[in-house]
Amino acid sequence: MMRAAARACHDVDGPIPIGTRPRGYLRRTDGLCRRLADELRKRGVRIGDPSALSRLASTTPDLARSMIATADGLIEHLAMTAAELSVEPCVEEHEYWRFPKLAFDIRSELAPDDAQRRLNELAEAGLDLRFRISLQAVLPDSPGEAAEPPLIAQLLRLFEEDRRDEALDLIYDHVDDLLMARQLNEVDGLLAAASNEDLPMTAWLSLLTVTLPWRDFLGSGRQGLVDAVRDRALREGGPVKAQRVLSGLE
Amino acid sequence: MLTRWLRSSKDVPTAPVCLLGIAVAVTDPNAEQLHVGVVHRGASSAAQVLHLAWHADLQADPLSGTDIEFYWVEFDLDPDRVETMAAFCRRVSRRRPSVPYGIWYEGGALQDDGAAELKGKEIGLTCATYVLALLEWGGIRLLSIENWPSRPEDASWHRGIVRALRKHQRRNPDSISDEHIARVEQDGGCARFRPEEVTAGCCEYAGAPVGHEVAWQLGEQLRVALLA
Repeated sequence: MMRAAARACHDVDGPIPIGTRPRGYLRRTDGLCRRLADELRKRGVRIGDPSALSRLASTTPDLARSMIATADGLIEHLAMTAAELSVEPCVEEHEYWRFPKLAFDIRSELAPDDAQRRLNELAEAGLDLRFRISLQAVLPDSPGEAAEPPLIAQLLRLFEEDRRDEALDLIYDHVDDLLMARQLNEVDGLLAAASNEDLPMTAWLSLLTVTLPWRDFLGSGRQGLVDAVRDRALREGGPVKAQRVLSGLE
Repeated sequence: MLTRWLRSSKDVPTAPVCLLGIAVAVTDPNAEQLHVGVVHRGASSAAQVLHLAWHADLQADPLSGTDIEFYWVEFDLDPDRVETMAAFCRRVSRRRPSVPYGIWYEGGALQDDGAAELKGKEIGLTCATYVLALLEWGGIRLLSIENWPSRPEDASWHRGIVRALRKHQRRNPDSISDEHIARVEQDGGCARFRPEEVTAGCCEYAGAPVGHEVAWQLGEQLRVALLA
């Protein structure tokens, strides 16, 4: 869906005049947003909390799939907005970190009121993209499959077999590969998913350490893992332990 | 035990206790030259020393059983943090990136594969600043580098480094450029982070960067003990 949206965007021959976005499309997106918001509210999930969404996704995959479809609609929305403005859209997952650049382009292209409206739209779309990535990290490919993403499943197995060095080596190699490919949303989703798993503290700290140089480019998944580390450290050893494990990693 | 800090390479806790510390050795007793690296061990591996031996020569050696007689001091870090950093050291040891030599240091860290992420005027790292950069990567600022003094007594060390780089170039003409050596020469008079001060920083580290005065005083004690 996302790639289709990207193609549609690139097929546009020149900028579409602002304000000619199909109204039917907008209604569909708005409807999806409302449905998503209603579903989340019913389940007490706060929008903007990917770890809560991840938990929800692992227990109710059908709902999660409909949420992903909603997010796909928003990605399309974003691509069209970008095409209207004749700015480069964020069309690939690993390019979502370019949202601020896109926002800057919009600000410089439009009158203040219109720019503010578009920026708000972008912010919403960006937030929902983050939902989508964090959901994909825990969602089974089809109903009945294991809910953990491959890395986390491997880590759980390695730690269970007391192969700790291998587990940590796997974290560094796997996450570094993702970072080098600028798959930042995937990494953030992985961190969000990891914070919901009963992994050893050292695995959590390795994830925080390997992503430390990228912390400014990662979203709430990393912050969620920081919070999980702090909570566990406080339970296990009080404030001193929390300070010692997190020093320099936040 | 030479001091209450220094331990011999044989004095290593048995596995599965993980280790992270600074390994230090006397490489040239006549010049009283010391050398440092990071000693690390995971839950099921042998203790190794990761050290920048020279220009573009990052090495991973066993703590004991080599030509270099290492001593080591242990970091007072949370055990989970130790295990995490030991895993990063293993990763760098596997990759062994090429790291250029340079004496100007202003807080650069490493990249995820252990190569130097140079900052500001930096053109490379020394054995001591490689240790600082590695720890910086892991969120550990060992020394208060901002206030580190330039010291006239480091001038002879600096001249020796430039001579050694030129000699290295004569033997390996393609390995280092004239421009690189000229930059190292121009950086004379910069703040130097001595191997014994980095080692002392490890002894004194308690979550906050160690200041120069503390590192210098304890570093001198360690140096005397090692050269005795």
